[in-house]
Amino acid sequence: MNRPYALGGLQMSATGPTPAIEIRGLTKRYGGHVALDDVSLAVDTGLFVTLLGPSGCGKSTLLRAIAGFVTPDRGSVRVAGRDITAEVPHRRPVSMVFQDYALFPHMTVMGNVGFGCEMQGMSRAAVERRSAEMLSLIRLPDIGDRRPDQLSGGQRQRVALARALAPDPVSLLLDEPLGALDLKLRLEMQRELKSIQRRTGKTFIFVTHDQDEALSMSDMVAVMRAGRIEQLDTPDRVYARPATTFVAGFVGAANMLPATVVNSDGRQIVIEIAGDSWTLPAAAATSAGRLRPGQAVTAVVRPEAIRIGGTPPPGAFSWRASVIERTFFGGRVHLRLQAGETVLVAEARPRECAEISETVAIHCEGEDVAVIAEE
Amino acid sequence: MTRRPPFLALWFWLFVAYLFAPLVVMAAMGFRDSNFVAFPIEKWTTRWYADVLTDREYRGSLWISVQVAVYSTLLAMAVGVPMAFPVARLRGTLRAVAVAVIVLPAFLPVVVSSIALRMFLGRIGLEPGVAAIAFGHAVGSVPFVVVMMLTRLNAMSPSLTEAARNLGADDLVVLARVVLPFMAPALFGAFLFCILLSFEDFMRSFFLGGFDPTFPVLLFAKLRFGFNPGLAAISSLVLVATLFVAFYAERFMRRRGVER
Repeated sequence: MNRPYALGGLQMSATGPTPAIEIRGLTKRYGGHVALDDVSLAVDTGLFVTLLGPSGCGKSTLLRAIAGFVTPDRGSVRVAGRDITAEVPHRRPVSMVFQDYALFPHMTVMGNVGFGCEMQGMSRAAVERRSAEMLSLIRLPDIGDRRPDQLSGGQRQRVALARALAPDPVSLLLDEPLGALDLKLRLEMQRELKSIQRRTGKTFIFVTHDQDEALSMSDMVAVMRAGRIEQLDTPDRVYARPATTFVAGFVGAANMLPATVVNSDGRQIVIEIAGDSWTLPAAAATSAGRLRPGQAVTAVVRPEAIRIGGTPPPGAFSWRASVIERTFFGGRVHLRLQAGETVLVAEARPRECAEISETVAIHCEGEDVAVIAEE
Repeated sequence: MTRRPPFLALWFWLFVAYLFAPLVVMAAMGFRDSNFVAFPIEKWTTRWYADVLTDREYRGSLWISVQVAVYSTLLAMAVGVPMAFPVARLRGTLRAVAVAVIVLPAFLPVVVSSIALRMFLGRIGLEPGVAAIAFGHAVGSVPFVVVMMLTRLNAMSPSLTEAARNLGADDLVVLARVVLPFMAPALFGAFLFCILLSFEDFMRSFFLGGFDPTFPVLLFAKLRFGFNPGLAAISSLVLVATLFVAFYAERFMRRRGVER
């Protein structure tokens, strides 16, 4: 897996010579609103990259800028090494899948899927061959003669995917394509989408506000806020080592404990939380810069990292806390715990769990803590 | 179970009778074997229906009406269809103002606008006649064309044209392959509606017409010399033809509308 690396202050995920998509310094303003604020991103061929963020964070604008439907004020877009910043949408080698699928209602499925190839000037026979190939890729080989209104939501979704893949684009841009589906179909389509991506080896840029979708499907996740990429990382690192408190709060639930740096050298970090001193491995720090003694930081602890009862291993931190709320979810139980002044959220298995108003010993290990330094 | 009061149903059917009885009586009068319109009908004949179909005056006026209908419809579509696209992109107050300006001609008193048009067309050198009437009808039809187009355009997702563009279609191809086919039901509907509007118009045709009357104007002229079964016969024939077109248009629009 590629690790993101810094290049002249830009966040890059690509390590190959020519990334499939390369965006530099992309900026777009709408009046006073900054939709994209100096965004840079490079994506290697064959990766599934998700742009994740709340509505209005600029993720769709970024996608539409790659497709050419948004003209940036500054910055450049390169696809497979070619600068397409000034190129018209219909000459860009990227295909878009829309949230409402945007299937042409007056054409058959075959007509829809073949449209892109037809535009490329392929012969009728070649278009038909390619369309049939695409329909078998989405495992719907027999629906070529139907019209979009005769299809179910999931089928429409797949046809939209086939239509986008048919002209053999460098990259597929997917704008919340699963947003209109119900939960069960959504999970099924997530698997399907992932499997098609693997089989075709295409670069997917996938926009969503659903963190589960982002974490489960992607090779890389770019968490966006207010027109900027806050973190570009693998899903497990986005979850375990959030770069900012925004990322920590947006992706999954998090206990965010205000802390102060006591000491930090290359091997370990010592922080102080509510008078107790904690020693953490150096990898706990999520930002590149060096931590200074006395610096205010945030220690992020995920709910499932807090253990109820049991013997804490050496180096773990222990508290005593009382259970103030208990919510049962079948396989797991959510607890709200009062530890001194702080309220903690924990997730536990039912049989490890305490009852309400009971006082328990809790602990968490140093490897499960992330330290975020923000100015 | 709720029982509806029976008098409401009675009221409904009474009103239906009021709407349609005159038409039925008119159609029946066309079959009366006499030179005058009266009841009861003692002898039946199809003579009147046969006569009016070969009558030069009627046929001449119908031909004028058809010409006016076609010209005015083409003109109204040529003006109204392109106008709908920029308006569809507007939002908020600007859109409300634009729509209000466009539909205003439909709410002006027809007598007033007809007189104004007659004076205006005279100034620019257009004599009363087929062209002048067609211009007048087009003015009255454009609002309907624009509104029908807007309704359909509102139903079109913006991502539809973006998808086509994204797949490699330039502006012309997007228009020909995506936008126009999508708009087809509205275009066809607006076309038939304009034809019917023009064909049944009396006021504008009367004020803007020359020596050759349109069909409604001829009927009015004939009426002044008394009513005869021939008038009933030709009116019934026109009624049937118009209903046929209207029903067909309705069915077509409905079928295409559902398909979306």
